[in-house]
Amino acid sequence: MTDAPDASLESFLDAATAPLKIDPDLALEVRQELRTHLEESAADFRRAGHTDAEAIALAKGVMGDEKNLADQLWKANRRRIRFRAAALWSARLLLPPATVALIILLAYNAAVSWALAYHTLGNSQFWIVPPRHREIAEGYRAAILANAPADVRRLFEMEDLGTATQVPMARELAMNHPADPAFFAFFALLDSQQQIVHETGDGTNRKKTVDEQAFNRVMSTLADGERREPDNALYPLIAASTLFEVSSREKLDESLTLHRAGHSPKSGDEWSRIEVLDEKRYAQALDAMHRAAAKPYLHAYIGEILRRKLSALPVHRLADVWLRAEEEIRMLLPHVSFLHRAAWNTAVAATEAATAGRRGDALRLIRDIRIVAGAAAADAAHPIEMNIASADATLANEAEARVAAALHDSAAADAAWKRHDEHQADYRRAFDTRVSMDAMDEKARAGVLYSNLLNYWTRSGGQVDAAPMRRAEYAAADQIGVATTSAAALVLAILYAGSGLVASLRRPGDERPPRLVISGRGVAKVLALGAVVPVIIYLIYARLNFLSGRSYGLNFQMSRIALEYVALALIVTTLLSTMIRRAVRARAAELGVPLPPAKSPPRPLSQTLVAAAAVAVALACLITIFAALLSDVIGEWLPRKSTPVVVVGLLAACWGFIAVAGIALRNRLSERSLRSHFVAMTARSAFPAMAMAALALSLLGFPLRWAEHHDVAKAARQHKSALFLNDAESPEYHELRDKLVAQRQAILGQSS
Amino acid sequence: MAIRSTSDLPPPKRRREIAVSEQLVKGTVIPVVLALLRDGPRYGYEMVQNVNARSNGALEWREGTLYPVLHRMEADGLISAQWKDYETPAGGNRRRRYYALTGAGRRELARRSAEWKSFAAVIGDLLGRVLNIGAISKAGES
Repeated sequence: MTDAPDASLESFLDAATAPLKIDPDLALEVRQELRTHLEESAADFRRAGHTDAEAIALAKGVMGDEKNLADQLWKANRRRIRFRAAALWSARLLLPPATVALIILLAYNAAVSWALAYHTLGNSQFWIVPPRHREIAEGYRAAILANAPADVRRLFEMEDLGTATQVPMARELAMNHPADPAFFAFFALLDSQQQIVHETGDGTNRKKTVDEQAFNRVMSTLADGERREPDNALYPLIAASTLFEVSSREKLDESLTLHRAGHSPKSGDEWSRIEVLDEKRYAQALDAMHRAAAKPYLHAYIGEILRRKLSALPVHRLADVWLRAEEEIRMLLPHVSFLHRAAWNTAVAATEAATAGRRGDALRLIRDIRIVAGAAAADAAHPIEMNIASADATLANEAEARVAAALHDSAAADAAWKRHDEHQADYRRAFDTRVSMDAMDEKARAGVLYSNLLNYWTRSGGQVDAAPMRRAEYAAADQIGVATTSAAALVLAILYAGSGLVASLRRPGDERPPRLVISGRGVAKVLALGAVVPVIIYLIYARLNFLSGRSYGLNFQMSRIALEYVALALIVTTLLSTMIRRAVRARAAELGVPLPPAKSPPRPLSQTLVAAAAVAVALACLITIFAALLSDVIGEWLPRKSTPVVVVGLLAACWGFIAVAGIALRNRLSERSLRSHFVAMTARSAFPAMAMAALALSLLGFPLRWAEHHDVAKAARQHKSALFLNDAESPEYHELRDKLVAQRQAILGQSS
Repeated sequence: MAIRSTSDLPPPKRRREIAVSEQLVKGTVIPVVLALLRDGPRYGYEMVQNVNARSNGALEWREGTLYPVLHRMEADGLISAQWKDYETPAGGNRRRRYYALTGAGRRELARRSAEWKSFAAVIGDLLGRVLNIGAISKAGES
């Protein structure tokens, strides 16, 4: 037998496999099988004494007529050819969109959490502003609320509207539920926060113009509210805030700033003066505050409305937790701050009265603030409300000290400042984060959500196990990481397909590199070892906290996680391309396709360096593009108008450097046409396996969604209150509340 | 001598004791392939050699008919194929495509064996009677 190709044998094989050439891999396989058979048969004839030519002719003769054989082979294989063609086209048409859909689904889940975190905190934890965060957050909320009860949905819908639309909607809710005091109180709060006063001019020439119609309507609403709930201090308190706003102007007076011994000289205790614009309404405001203090209780219903809203929000995912936290902050702060305005104006009024020598009036006003602060503390359903109640008490203490000073009673002033400082210390114990190494360590372990919203909860004595929520945050980050790895594999698959197409277009039909089919077993091996195993190994590593550092939160480890996923994506894509190249090489060897040597000749160092430098610069351009588009940091020095020009320029530079790298390597590739042929053949053959690997990677991310749900559920189970931030409550928090309530009781007891 | 076609060549030296009709050979290729693969994986040329040797040339397979049958059986899932290396007498490295029975192939072999046994018994019985009748009538005539 001879290894040299025989022309008559080749022409026989050409004819026998001609109909199969629409499936080059199958044609090559059948050709190789027939060739082996014919060569062995010819060898036997040769051993029987025939010449080479006779032996080959006899072998062909025994095989039969090549045309008939071609026909039989086509009939036997046509079903397989059609099936393989259908499978290839299905892979081309279905795998990329399916993978993209899965990647988006996977990344969207984490992107919603990220967008909501940005919304809630008002800043990005991770260098980059989440793109389209507003749309993502609002879209998620809208989808959740689609199934909420109609009244609750109306409460949510109101949030994003101006007061002109909010108020009629709130009124409608109140009218639809006449026996529900919460809806009426909510309507009254919104109505009174409408713009009643218009300010014109600036500096000393600022003028206030009152919209009398709106003012009268608000006062009528508040009077109605007071009729409905005569014992509730809420309506007179809102009336006081509204009347102060229309009748006076508060001005910060630096001459009143006090720098007390033992306190920071830079930030003294500031105070204001009141410029009364309408004496009658100002007196009505003070009277309304006094009336509020005389009521048995204060019930603002803000916590109640918030509870109703939160009842419509599920707690399945991390995004749900962020949505609830955002809701609590958005809902509570404006309304509670509005109520606080009455206490602030009353406190300044007290010091004004003392300066004018009206001691009795001053002390009465301070007493009113204390009683209202106590009532607010008793009513507080939420730390934000408690915070404001505490601020009211602070105002009363400071006003008392200033009043005593104005009345030249230094002993009383000192005693008041002492009470003020004691209250501030109580407040810090209840709310502030400890500044210590232990506290910093706990904060670093708490994760993004807890460290930002429940930082004081991580103090010793706190009852929270931060681990489940921290793990849920990692699960969300892992989903983005796995989605990114899958996207990298998909990009590589598309690059292979593109370069394979270019390679086939550049060569005439006969020289076109064949598209080989990697066997099912080969593809399974590539998927398992190139995609699944590395990701599973990484996720196991991630669960080993002592190795991965995940006993610290994402707030502390974000850079490390990002780097780890970049490395994982690089490892996975390198493994996949290496294994696919090997699989193509093995298949080509089976089919007798000529191959270049497995080991490349050493690459000239200069070419390698030029290519590496060009790729590095291209990558730098790419990173700068992303930073220019997404990052706040770049946005600060890059004018918005210039961004498109810079991005297009950088993109062009990026492609330029990639071309340079290609040219640097191309010289070497063109040295051996076999190698070039093999590269083109690999490019043409790699797409299905690589696209399947991308799909497998994206599927691997879905168990992480389950992990996120599991950990969020576990974290939610340990929350004692439906209101997320209520879990900030601590023994010190309750002590402060009890003190303020007790102060109120003591004052009321003295009066009676 | 210039060889223009295979008809110019002497026929290969093969023993042909009993010639079996081409139709019957064609009909038995699948069960014979299944039976050959029962003992382990084989490649095409080996199967041809084996059949020719075991049938003393009675079942003379046209080699070209074997591969379409093998490919059809592979497509039907009765057999699977795998490339394996072998060393040529000249010291080169070549690959052969080995076929092996799948589970479905084993079941098909069992089914065909049983079918063949009952078919052979019926035909044998039938042919035996016919031959006996012929022998008796011949004896009567003589």
